[in-house]
Amino acid sequence: MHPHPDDPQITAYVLGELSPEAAAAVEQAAATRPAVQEKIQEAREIQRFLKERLTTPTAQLLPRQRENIRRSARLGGRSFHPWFIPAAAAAVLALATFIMIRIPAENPTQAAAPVPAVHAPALPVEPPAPQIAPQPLPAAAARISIFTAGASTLELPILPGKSNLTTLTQSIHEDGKLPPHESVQPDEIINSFPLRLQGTAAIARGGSPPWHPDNRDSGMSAHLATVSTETIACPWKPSATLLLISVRSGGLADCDIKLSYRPDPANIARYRLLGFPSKAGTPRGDPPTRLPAGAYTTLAIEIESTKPKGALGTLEWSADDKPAPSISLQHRADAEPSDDARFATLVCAWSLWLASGQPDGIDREMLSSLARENTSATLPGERAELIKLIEKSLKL
Amino acid sequence: MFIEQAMVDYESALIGYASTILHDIDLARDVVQDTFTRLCQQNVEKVRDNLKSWLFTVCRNRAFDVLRKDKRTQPLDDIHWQKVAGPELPPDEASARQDRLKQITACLDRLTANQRDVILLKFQQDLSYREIQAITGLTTGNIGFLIHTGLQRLREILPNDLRP
Repeated sequence: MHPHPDDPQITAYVLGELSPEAAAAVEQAAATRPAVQEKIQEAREIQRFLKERLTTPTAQLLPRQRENIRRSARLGGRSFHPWFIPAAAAAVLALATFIMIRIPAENPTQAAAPVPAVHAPALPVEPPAPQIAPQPLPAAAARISIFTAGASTLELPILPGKSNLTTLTQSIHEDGKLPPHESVQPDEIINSFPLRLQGTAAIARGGSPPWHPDNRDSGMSAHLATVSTETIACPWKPSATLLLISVRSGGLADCDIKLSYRPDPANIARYRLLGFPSKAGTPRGDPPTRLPAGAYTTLAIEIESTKPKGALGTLEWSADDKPAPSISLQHRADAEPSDDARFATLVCAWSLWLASGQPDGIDREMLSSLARENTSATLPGERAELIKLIEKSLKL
Repeated sequence: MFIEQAMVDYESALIGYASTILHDIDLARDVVQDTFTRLCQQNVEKVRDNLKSWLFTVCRNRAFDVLRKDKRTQPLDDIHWQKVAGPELPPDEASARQDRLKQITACLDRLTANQRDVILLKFQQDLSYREIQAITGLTTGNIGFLIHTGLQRLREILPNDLRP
Protein backbone atom coordinates (compact mmCIF):
# COMPACT_ATOMS: atom_id res chain seq x y z
CA MET A 1 0.00 0.00 0.00
CA HIS A 2 1.32 3.45 -0.90
CA PRO A 3 -0.22 6.26 1.16
CA HIS A 4 -1.52 9.35 -0.53
CA PRO A 5 -0.03 12.70 0.62
CA ASP A 6 -3.32 13.49 2.46
CA ASP A 7 -3.56 10.08 4.09
CA PRO A 8 -3.94 10.17 7.92
CA GLN A 9 -1.25 7.47 7.97
CA ILE A 10 1.34 10.17 7.27
CA THR A 11 0.45 11.93 10.51
CA ALA A 12 0.23 8.61 12.34
CA TYR A 13 3.70 7.74 11.03
CA VAL A 14 5.19 10.96 12.40
CA LEU A 15 3.48 10.37 15.73
CA GLY A 16 4.89 6.84 15.97
CA GLU A 17 1.48 5.20 15.83
CA LEU A 18 1.96 2.86 12.87
CA SER A 19 2.90 -0.80 12.88
CA PRO A 20 6.39 -1.55 11.51
CA GLU A 21 4.88 -2.76 8.24
CA ALA A 22 2.72 0.34 7.75
CA ALA A 23 5.63 2.61 8.73
CA ALA A 24 7.83 0.90 6.14
CA ALA A 25 5.19 1.56 3.48
CA VAL A 26 5.13 5.27 4.35
CA GLU A 27 8.94 5.43 4.24
CA GLN A 28 8.93 3.71 0.88
CA ALA A 29 6.37 6.21 -0.45
CA ALA A 30 8.38 9.13 0.93
CA ALA A 31 11.52 7.88 -0.81
CA THR A 32 9.83 7.98 -4.19
CA ARG A 33 7.28 10.81 -3.86
CA PRO A 34 8.40 14.32 -2.84
CA ALA A 35 4.80 15.28 -1.95
CA VAL A 36 4.71 12.58 0.74
CA GLN A 37 8.12 13.68 2.01
CA GLU A 38 6.83 17.26 2.20
CA LYS A 39 3.75 16.18 4.19
CA ILE A 40 5.94 14.27 6.64
CA GLN A 41 8.04 17.38 7.15
CA GLU A 42 4.94 19.53 7.72
CA ALA A 43 3.57 17.05 10.24
CA ARG A 44 6.88 17.07 12.13
CA GLU A 45 6.91 20.85 12.24
CA ILE A 46 3.40 21.15 13.60
CA GLN A 47 4.08 18.39 16.10
CA ARG A 48 7.06 20.33 17.50
CA PHE A 49 5.11 23.56 17.41
CA LEU A 50 2.13 22.18 19.32
CA LYS A 51 4.20 20.39 21.92
CA GLU A 52 6.05 23.58 22.68
CA ARG A 53 2.98 25.83 22.66
CA LEU A 54 0.69 23.58 24.65
CA THR A 55 3.14 23.01 27.45
CA THR A 56 1.56 24.19 30.67
CA PRO A 57 3.60 25.14 33.70
CA THR A 58 3.95 22.70 36.54
CA ALA A 59 0.90 23.28 38.71
CA GLN A 60 0.02 21.53 41.91
CA LEU A 61 -2.99 21.03 44.08
CA LEU A 62 -3.37 23.27 47.09
CA PRO A 63 -2.37 21.77 50.46
CA ARG A 64 -5.98 21.65 51.63
CA GLN A 65 -6.99 19.80 48.45
CA ARG A 66 -4.21 17.27 49.01
CA GLU A 67 -5.37 16.85 52.57
CA ASN A 68 -8.94 16.24 51.39
CA ILE A 69 -7.71 13.55 49.02
CA ARG A 70 -5.65 11.90 51.75
CA ARG A 71 -8.67 11.93 54.01
CA SER A 72 -10.73 10.25 51.29
CA ALA A 73 -7.96 7.69 50.85
CA ARG A 74 -8.05 6.93 54.55
CA LEU A 75 -11.82 6.54 54.50
CA GLY A 76 -11.54 4.44 51.31
CA GLY A 77 -14.75 3.34 49.69
CA ARG A 78 -16.69 3.17 52.90
CA SER A 79 -20.34 3.82 52.51
CA PHE A 80 -22.98 3.92 55.16
CA HIS A 81 -26.56 2.81 55.01
CA PRO A 82 -29.07 5.62 55.35
CA TRP A 83 -30.00 4.37 58.82
CA PHE A 84 -26.40 4.40 60.00
CA ILE A 85 -26.08 8.06 61.00
CA PRO A 86 -29.24 8.32 63.13
CA ALA A 87 -28.52 4.91 64.64
CA ALA A 88 -24.95 5.93 65.45
CA ALA A 89 -26.13 9.23 66.94
CA ALA A 90 -28.59 7.36 69.16
CA ALA A 91 -25.86 4.96 70.24
CA VAL A 92 -23.52 7.81 71.11
CA LEU A 93 -26.25 9.54 73.11
CA ALA A 94 -27.01 6.33 74.99
CA LEU A 95 -23.33 5.76 75.71
CA ALA A 96 -22.84 9.32 76.92
CA THR A 97 -25.86 8.99 79.23
CA PHE A 98 -24.54 5.69 80.52
CA ILE A 99 -21.11 7.17 81.26
CA MET A 100 -22.59 10.15 83.06
CA ILE A 101 -24.78 7.91 85.21
CA ARG A 102 -22.15 5.26 85.90
CA ILE A 103 -19.26 7.55 86.87
CA PRO A 104 -20.24 9.49 89.95
CA ALA A 105 -18.45 12.78 90.39
CA GLU A 106 -17.61 11.91 94.00
CA ASN A 107 -15.39 9.01 92.98
CA PRO A 108 -13.16 10.09 90.14
CA THR A 109 -10.72 7.20 90.45
CA GLN A 110 -13.07 4.23 90.35
CA ALA A 111 -12.56 3.37 86.71
CA ALA A 112 -8.81 3.59 86.74
CA ALA A 113 -7.41 0.10 86.35
CA PRO A 114 -4.07 -0.72 87.96
CA VAL A 115 -1.26 -0.58 85.45
CA PRO A 116 0.97 -3.69 85.57
CA ALA A 117 4.60 -3.36 86.60
CA VAL A 118 6.83 -2.37 83.74
CA HIS A 119 9.82 -4.54 82.93
CA ALA A 120 10.03 -4.01 79.20
CA PRO A 121 12.85 -1.89 77.82
CA ALA A 122 11.65 1.60 77.12
CA LEU A 123 11.49 2.95 73.60
CA PRO A 124 14.46 5.15 72.81
CA VAL A 125 12.62 8.39 73.35
CA GLU A 126 14.35 11.73 72.94
CA PRO A 127 15.75 12.73 76.32
CA PRO A 128 15.56 16.54 76.66
CA ALA A 129 13.06 16.26 79.48
CA PRO A 130 14.06 14.70 82.81
CA GLN A 131 12.30 11.60 84.09
CA ILE A 132 9.06 12.72 85.63
CA ALA A 133 6.89 10.74 87.94
CA PRO A 134 3.52 10.53 86.20
CA GLN A 135 0.85 12.55 87.86
CA PRO A 136 -2.36 10.76 88.81
CA LEU A 137 -4.77 10.74 85.92
CA PRO A 138 -8.50 11.12 86.25
CA ALA A 139 -10.93 8.30 85.66
CA ALA A 140 -10.35 6.30 82.52
CA ALA A 141 -13.41 7.13 80.51
CA ALA A 142 -13.17 8.90 77.19
CA ARG A 143 -13.93 12.58 77.31
CA ILE A 144 -17.12 13.48 75.57
CA SER A 145 -17.84 16.43 73.33
CA ILE A 146 -18.78 19.69 74.94
CA PHE A 147 -21.24 22.02 73.26
CA THR A 148 -19.89 25.55 73.01
CA ALA A 149 -23.25 26.96 73.98
CA GLY A 150 -23.07 25.16 77.32
CA ALA A 151 -19.38 25.65 78.17
CA SER A 152 -17.51 28.68 76.91
CA THR A 153 -14.20 27.75 78.58
CA LEU A 154 -12.32 24.50 78.92
CA GLU A 155 -9.57 24.44 81.52
CA LEU A 156 -6.82 22.21 80.24
CA PRO A 157 -4.82 19.80 82.40
CA ILE A 158 -1.02 19.92 82.35
CA LEU A 159 -0.07 16.26 82.43
CA PRO A 160 3.59 15.81 81.55
CA GLY A 161 3.80 12.17 82.73
CA LYS A 162 4.84 9.73 80.01
CA SER A 163 5.23 6.24 81.43
CA ASN A 164 2.30 4.67 79.60
CA LEU A 165 4.11 4.00 76.34
CA THR A 166 6.49 1.54 78.01
CA THR A 167 3.48 -0.43 79.29
CA LEU A 168 2.01 -0.57 75.82
CA THR A 169 5.34 -1.57 74.34
CA GLN A 170 5.61 -4.47 76.74
CA SER A 171 2.11 -5.63 76.02
CA ILE A 172 2.45 -5.45 72.24
CA HIS A 173 6.07 -6.48 71.71
CA GLU A 174 6.58 -8.96 74.57
CA ASP A 175 3.13 -10.30 75.42
CA GLY A 176 1.97 -10.20 71.80
CA LYS A 177 -1.44 -8.76 72.64
CA LEU A 178 -3.19 -5.43 72.66
CA PRO A 179 -3.24 -3.78 76.09
CA PRO A 180 -6.54 -3.60 78.00
CA HIS A 181 -8.47 -0.53 76.85
CA GLU A 182 -8.54 0.95 80.35
CA SER A 183 -4.74 0.84 80.70
CA VAL A 184 -4.16 3.13 77.70
CA GLN A 185 -3.53 6.77 78.52
CA PRO A 186 -3.52 8.82 75.29
CA ASP A 187 -2.41 11.89 77.24
CA GLU A 188 0.80 10.13 78.16
CA ILE A 189 1.50 8.45 74.86
CA ILE A 190 1.68 11.71 72.98
CA ASN A 191 3.90 13.15 75.72
CA SER A 192 6.60 10.67 74.78
CA PHE A 193 7.45 12.73 71.72
CA PRO A 194 8.68 16.33 71.75
CA LEU A 195 6.85 18.21 69.02
CA ARG A 196 7.69 21.36 67.11
CA LEU A 197 4.36 22.72 66.02
CA GLN A 198 4.35 25.38 63.33
CA GLY A 199 1.25 27.40 64.12
CA THR A 200 0.89 30.36 66.47
CA ALA A 201 3.04 30.34 69.61
CA ALA A 202 3.58 32.49 72.68
CA ILE A 203 6.26 32.71 75.35
CA ALA A 204 5.79 33.47 79.04
CA ARG A 205 8.57 35.36 80.82
CA GLY A 206 9.05 36.15 84.45
CA GLY A 207 11.61 36.43 87.25
CA SER A 208 15.31 36.89 86.52
CA PRO A 209 17.38 34.75 84.20
CA PRO A 210 20.48 32.99 85.59
CA TRP A 211 23.60 35.17 85.44
CA HIS A 212 25.34 35.19 82.11
CA PRO A 213 27.59 37.84 80.52
CA ASP A 214 25.14 38.20 77.64
CA ASN A 215 22.28 38.94 80.02
CA ARG A 216 23.92 41.90 81.75
CA ASP A 217 21.81 45.02 81.59
CA SER A 218 19.58 43.38 79.00
CA GLY A 219 16.56 43.85 81.21
CA MET A 220 15.28 40.52 79.91
CA SER A 221 13.33 38.28 82.22
CA ALA A 222 13.63 34.50 82.37
CA HIS A 223 11.85 32.29 79.86
CA LEU A 224 9.29 30.33 81.87
CA ALA A 225 7.38 28.39 79.25
CA THR A 226 6.28 28.29 75.63
CA VAL A 227 2.90 27.30 74.24
CA SER A 228 2.82 26.47 70.54
CA THR A 229 -0.12 25.36 68.45
CA GLU A 230 -1.05 23.96 65.07
CA THR A 231 -4.29 22.86 63.45
CA ILE A 232 -4.70 19.89 61.13
CA ALA A 233 -7.65 18.21 59.47
CA CYS A 234 -9.07 15.54 61.77
CA PRO A 235 -8.64 12.24 59.91
CA TRP A 236 -11.41 10.36 61.69
CA LYS A 237 -14.02 13.12 61.58
CA PRO A 238 -14.19 15.05 58.29
CA SER A 239 -16.20 17.86 59.88
CA ALA A 240 -13.60 18.49 62.59
CA THR A 241 -10.24 20.15 63.00
CA LEU A 242 -7.63 18.88 65.41
CA LEU A 243 -6.00 21.59 67.50
CA LEU A 244 -2.61 20.52 68.82
CA ILE A 245 -1.14 22.40 71.76
CA SER A 246 2.40 21.86 72.95
CA VAL A 247 3.43 23.30 76.32
CA ARG A 248 7.15 23.35 76.99
CA SER A 249 8.94 24.49 80.11
CA GLY A 250 11.70 27.08 79.78
CA GLY A 251 13.98 24.63 81.57
CA LEU A 252 15.03 26.79 84.52
CA ALA A 253 12.56 25.80 87.19
CA ASP A 254 9.23 24.11 87.74
CA CYS A 255 6.29 26.36 87.01
CA ASP A 256 2.52 26.36 87.23
CA ILE A 257 0.77 26.63 83.90
CA LYS A 258 -2.89 27.48 83.86
CA LEU A 259 -4.20 27.01 80.38
CA SER A 260 -7.71 27.32 79.07
CA TYR A 261 -9.37 27.11 75.67
CA ARG A 262 -12.12 29.57 74.81
CA PRO A 263 -13.93 28.47 71.65
CA ASP A 264 -15.34 31.12 69.35
CA PRO A 265 -19.09 30.67 69.81
CA ALA A 266 -19.77 32.12 66.36
CA ASN A 267 -17.79 29.36 64.62
CA ILE A 268 -17.51 26.40 66.97
CA ALA A 269 -20.39 24.01 67.61
CA ARG A 270 -18.62 21.67 70.00
CA TYR A 271 -15.21 20.41 71.02
CA ARG A 272 -13.55 17.55 72.84
CA LEU A 273 -10.23 17.27 74.60
CA LEU A 274 -8.84 13.92 73.53
CA GLY A 275 -7.98 11.49 76.29
CA PHE A 276 -9.58 11.22 79.69
CA PRO A 277 -12.03 13.27 81.71
CA SER A 278 -10.97 16.78 82.51
CA LYS A 279 -12.62 19.08 84.94
CA ALA A 280 -15.33 19.64 82.36
CA GLY A 281 -16.02 15.90 82.08
CA THR A 282 -16.06 14.99 85.78
CA PRO A 283 -16.19 18.21 87.76
CA ARG A 284 -13.90 17.54 90.71
CA GLY A 285 -11.20 20.03 91.62
CA ASP A 286 -8.89 22.07 89.42
CA PRO A 287 -6.95 20.40 86.63
CA PRO A 288 -3.25 19.70 87.33
CA THR A 289 -1.01 22.64 86.47
CA ARG A 290 2.53 21.65 87.48
CA LEU A 291 5.09 21.61 84.67
CA PRO A 292 8.53 20.49 85.89
CA ALA A 293 11.65 22.21 84.58
CA GLY A 294 12.56 20.96 81.10
CA ALA A 295 9.32 19.03 80.69
CA TYR A 296 6.82 19.23 77.90
CA THR A 297 3.29 18.08 77.30
CA THR A 298 0.96 17.99 74.32
CA LEU A 299 -2.81 18.29 74.25
CA ALA A 300 -5.17 17.65 71.36
CA ILE A 301 -8.65 19.11 71.01
CA GLU A 302 -11.10 17.92 68.39
CA ILE A 303 -13.06 20.98 67.27
CA GLU A 304 -16.21 20.90 65.18
CA SER A 305 -16.74 24.17 63.35
CA THR A 306 -19.92 25.48 61.84
CA LYS A 307 -17.96 27.27 59.11
CA PRO A 308 -15.24 25.91 56.83
CA LYS A 309 -12.73 28.53 57.93
CA GLY A 310 -12.39 31.26 60.50
CA ALA A 311 -11.54 31.78 64.13
CA LEU A 312 -11.40 28.72 66.34
CA GLY A 313 -11.12 30.68 69.58
CA THR A 314 -8.27 31.62 71.88
CA LEU A 315 -5.91 30.02 74.35
CA GLU A 316 -5.59 31.99 77.57
CA TRP A 317 -2.75 31.05 79.84
CA SER A 318 -0.52 32.11 82.68
CA ALA A 319 2.79 30.92 84.07
CA ASP A 320 3.27 31.11 87.84
CA ASP A 321 0.13 33.24 87.96
CA LYS A 322 1.61 35.84 85.60
CA PRO A 323 -0.59 36.34 82.53
CA ALA A 324 1.06 35.25 79.29
CA PRO A 325 0.16 36.45 75.77
CA SER A 326 -3.05 34.79 74.66
CA ILE A 327 -3.04 32.88 71.39
CA SER A 328 -5.62 33.52 68.73
CA LEU A 329 -6.47 30.31 66.91
CA GLN A 330 -7.30 30.36 63.23
CA HIS A 331 -8.18 27.48 60.97
CA ARG A 332 -5.72 27.77 58.06
CA ALA A 333 -7.19 25.49 55.44
CA ASP A 334 -4.43 26.16 52.92
CA ALA A 335 -1.52 25.52 55.27
CA GLU A 336 0.45 22.34 54.68
CA PRO A 337 0.62 20.56 58.06
CA SER A 338 4.05 20.08 59.57
CA ASP A 339 5.55 16.61 59.86
CA ASP A 340 5.21 16.92 63.64
CA ALA A 341 1.50 17.68 63.39
CA ARG A 342 1.01 14.70 61.10
CA PHE A 343 2.88 12.51 63.54
CA ALA A 344 0.86 13.82 66.49
CA THR A 345 -2.33 13.04 64.57
CA LEU A 346 -1.17 9.47 64.04
CA VAL A 347 -0.36 9.13 67.74
CA CYS A 348 -3.76 10.53 68.74
CA ALA A 349 -5.63 8.21 66.36
CA TRP A 350 -3.69 5.14 67.48
CA SER A 351 -4.11 6.01 71.18
CA LEU A 352 -7.86 6.47 70.79
CA TRP A 353 -8.09 3.20 68.90
CA LEU A 354 -6.17 1.36 71.63
CA ALA A 355 -8.16 3.05 74.38
CA SER A 356 -11.60 2.23 73.14
CA GLY A 357 -11.56 -0.23 70.27
CA GLN A 358 -12.87 1.57 67.21
CA PRO A 359 -14.04 5.00 68.27
CA ASP A 360 -15.13 7.59 65.76
CA GLY A 361 -14.51 5.36 62.78
CA ILE A 362 -10.82 4.88 63.52
CA ASP A 363 -9.92 1.44 62.26
CA ARG A 364 -6.88 -0.55 61.21
CA GLU A 365 -7.12 0.64 57.61
CA MET A 366 -7.08 4.29 58.60
CA LEU A 367 -4.23 3.79 61.06
CA SER A 368 -2.24 1.89 58.49
CA SER A 369 -2.74 4.73 56.02
CA LEU A 370 -1.75 7.38 58.58
CA ALA A 371 1.33 5.39 59.51
CA ARG A 372 2.37 5.13 55.86
CA GLU A 373 2.00 8.89 55.46
CA ASN A 374 4.39 9.38 58.35
CA THR A 375 6.96 6.90 57.18
CA SER A 376 10.09 8.33 55.62
CA ALA A 377 13.78 7.56 55.45
CA THR A 378 14.60 10.54 57.66
CA LEU A 379 12.19 9.68 60.47
CA PRO A 380 13.83 10.09 63.90
CA GLY A 381 14.55 6.81 65.67
CA GLU A 382 11.90 7.01 68.38
CA ARG A 383 9.23 7.82 65.84
CA ALA A 384 10.31 4.95 63.59
CA GLU A 385 10.06 2.68 66.65
CA LEU A 386 6.54 3.87 67.32
CA ILE A 387 5.52 3.18 63.73
CA LYS A 388 6.88 -0.36 64.11
CA LEU A 389 4.88 -0.69 67.32
CA ILE A 390 1.74 0.54 65.57
CA GLU A 391 2.36 -1.83 62.69
CA LYS A 392 2.65 -4.74 65.09
CA SER A 393 -0.42 -3.70 67.07
CA LEU A 394 -2.49 -3.62 63.88
CA LYS A 395 -1.66 -7.27 63.27
CA LEU A 396 -2.75 -8.44 66.73
CA MET B 1 0.88 4.97 49.13
CA PHE B 2 -0.89 4.20 45.85
CA ILE B 3 -2.80 7.48 45.95
CA GLU B 4 0.29 9.45 46.98
CA GLN B 5 2.26 7.99 44.08
CA ALA B 6 -0.59 8.64 41.67
CA MET B 7 -0.61 12.29 42.78
CA VAL B 8 3.14 12.56 42.31
CA ASP B 9 2.93 11.03 38.82
CA TYR B 10 -0.17 12.70 37.39
CA GLU B 11 -1.22 15.71 39.46
CA SER B 12 0.54 18.31 37.35
CA ALA B 13 -0.35 16.76 33.99
CA LEU B 14 -4.02 16.52 34.94
CA ILE B 15 -4.14 20.11 36.13
CA GLY B 16 -2.49 21.23 32.88
CA TYR B 17 -5.00 19.25 30.84
CA ALA B 18 -8.03 20.42 32.82
CA SER B 19 -6.87 24.04 32.80
CA THR B 20 -6.61 23.98 29.00
CA ILE B 21 -10.20 22.77 28.80
CA LEU B 22 -11.55 25.09 31.47
CA HIS B 23 -9.22 28.08 31.03
CA ASP B 24 -9.17 28.42 34.81
CA ILE B 25 -6.49 26.98 37.05
CA ASP B 26 -8.65 27.07 40.19
CA LEU B 27 -11.47 25.15 38.55
CA ALA B 28 -8.88 22.77 37.11
CA ARG B 29 -7.51 22.08 40.59
CA ASP B 30 -11.03 21.38 41.87
CA VAL B 31 -11.61 18.96 39.00
CA VAL B 32 -8.33 17.18 39.69
CA GLN B 33 -9.13 16.98 43.39
CA ASP B 34 -12.45 15.35 42.47
CA THR B 35 -10.60 12.97 40.17
CA PHE B 36 -8.26 11.78 42.90
CA THR B 37 -11.10 11.62 45.41
CA ARG B 38 -12.91 9.27 43.05
CA LEU B 39 -9.74 7.24 42.68
CA CYS B 40 -9.77 6.76 46.46
CA GLN B 41 -13.14 5.05 46.14
CA GLN B 42 -11.98 2.58 43.51
CA ASN B 43 -10.70 -0.92 43.93
CA VAL B 44 -6.97 -0.37 43.42
CA GLU B 45 -6.51 -3.70 41.65
CA LYS B 46 -9.08 -2.76 39.02
CA VAL B 47 -7.51 0.56 38.07
CA ARG B 48 -3.83 -0.05 38.69
CA ASP B 49 -3.02 -1.38 35.20
CA ASN B 50 -4.71 1.43 33.29
CA LEU B 51 -4.35 4.18 35.85
CA LYS B 52 -3.28 6.90 33.42
CA SER B 53 -6.25 6.36 31.11
CA TRP B 54 -8.60 6.09 34.07
CA LEU B 55 -7.42 9.38 35.55
CA PHE B 56 -7.61 11.27 32.26
CA THR B 57 -11.06 9.81 31.53
CA VAL B 58 -12.47 10.90 34.88
CA CYS B 59 -10.70 14.26 34.73
CA ARG B 60 -11.95 14.92 31.17
CA ASN B 61 -15.55 13.96 31.98
CA ARG B 62 -15.52 16.05 35.12
CA ALA B 63 -14.00 19.05 33.31
CA PHE B 64 -16.66 18.88 30.59
CA ASP B 65 -19.36 18.60 33.28
CA VAL B 66 -18.04 21.75 34.91
CA LEU B 67 -17.78 23.47 31.55
CA ARG B 68 -21.38 22.62 30.72
CA LYS B 69 -22.67 23.76 34.09
CA ASP B 70 -20.55 26.86 34.08
CA LYS B 71 -21.51 27.84 30.54
CA ARG B 72 -18.17 29.53 30.22
CA THR B 73 -18.81 31.03 26.81
CA GLN B 74 -17.60 34.49 27.63
CA PRO B 75 -14.28 35.56 26.14
CA LEU B 76 -11.32 34.57 28.21
CA ASP B 77 -10.05 37.41 30.24
CA ASP B 78 -6.45 38.12 30.95
CA ILE B 79 -6.75 37.16 34.59
CA HIS B 80 -7.76 33.64 33.65
CA TRP B 81 -4.88 33.36 31.23
CA GLN B 82 -2.45 34.77 33.68
CA LYS B 83 -3.45 32.08 36.16
CA VAL B 84 -3.20 29.29 33.58
CA ALA B 85 0.20 30.53 32.43
CA GLY B 86 1.57 30.36 35.95
CA PRO B 87 1.73 33.29 38.35
CA GLU B 88 4.93 31.96 39.89
CA LEU B 89 6.98 32.60 36.74
CA PRO B 90 9.02 35.78 36.24
CA PRO B 91 6.71 38.46 34.79
CA ASP B 92 8.29 38.46 31.32
CA GLU B 93 8.24 34.71 30.95
CA ALA B 94 4.75 34.42 32.38
CA SER B 95 3.52 37.06 29.99
CA ALA B 96 5.12 35.37 26.97
CA ARG B 97 3.76 31.98 27.96
CA GLN B 98 0.37 33.53 28.59
CA ASP B 99 0.35 34.98 25.08
CA ARG B 100 1.43 31.73 23.47
CA LEU B 101 -1.21 29.69 25.30
CA LYS B 102 -3.88 32.23 24.59
CA GLN B 103 -3.15 32.31 20.87
CA ILE B 104 -2.91 28.59 20.34
CA THR B 105 -5.94 27.76 22.46
CA ALA B 106 -7.99 30.37 20.63
CA CYS B 107 -7.11 28.54 17.40
CA LEU B 108 -7.88 25.15 18.93
CA ASP B 109 -11.29 26.48 19.98
CA ARG B 110 -12.13 26.87 16.30
CA LEU B 111 -11.74 23.14 15.66
CA THR B 112 -14.52 20.64 16.26
CA ALA B 113 -14.81 19.45 19.87
CA ASN B 114 -13.49 16.00 18.97
CA GLN B 115 -10.54 17.39 17.00
CA ARG B 116 -9.59 19.70 19.84
CA ASP B 117 -10.00 16.93 22.38
CA VAL B 118 -7.74 14.41 20.64
CA ILE B 119 -5.12 17.03 19.73
CA LEU B 120 -4.85 18.10 23.37
CA LEU B 121 -4.53 14.51 24.57
CA LYS B 122 -1.96 13.71 21.90
CA PHE B 123 0.22 16.81 21.85
CA GLN B 124 -0.16 18.18 25.35
CA GLN B 125 -0.35 14.92 27.26
CA ASP B 126 1.62 12.73 24.84
CA LEU B 127 -0.89 9.91 25.03
CA SER B 128 -0.97 7.10 22.48
CA TYR B 129 -3.92 6.48 20.16
CA ARG B 130 -4.82 3.48 22.32
CA GLU B 131 -4.82 5.57 25.48
CA ILE B 132 -6.89 8.24 23.77
CA GLN B 133 -9.26 5.49 22.64
CA ALA B 134 -9.69 4.37 26.26
CA ILE B 135 -10.40 7.94 27.37
CA THR B 136 -12.69 9.14 24.58
CA GLY B 137 -14.30 5.94 23.39
CA LEU B 138 -13.33 6.76 19.79
CA THR B 139 -11.68 4.13 17.59
CA THR B 140 -7.97 4.46 16.82
CA GLY B 141 -8.85 4.93 13.13
CA ASN B 142 -11.19 7.76 14.01
CA ILE B 143 -8.59 9.31 16.31
CA GLY B 144 -5.98 9.21 13.52
CA PHE B 145 -8.41 10.84 11.11
CA LEU B 146 -9.43 13.54 13.64
CA ILE B 147 -5.82 14.40 14.41
CA HIS B 148 -4.85 14.50 10.76
CA THR B 149 -7.76 16.71 9.70
CA GLY B 150 -7.48 18.79 12.87
CA LEU B 151 -3.84 19.57 12.13
CA GLN B 152 -4.68 20.46 8.54
CA ARG B 153 -7.38 22.85 9.71
CA LEU B 154 -5.12 24.29 12.37
CA ARG B 155 -2.44 25.03 9.80
CA GLU B 156 -5.02 26.94 7.77
CA ILE B 157 -6.29 29.08 10.63
CA LEU B 158 -3.02 29.83 12.39
CA PRO B 159 -2.04 33.47 11.92
CA ASN B 160 1.03 33.95 9.75
CA ASP B 161 3.17 35.03 12.67
CA LEU B 162 2.34 31.83 14.52
CA ARG B 163 2.87 29.30 11.76
CA PRO B 164 5.70 26.86 12.31
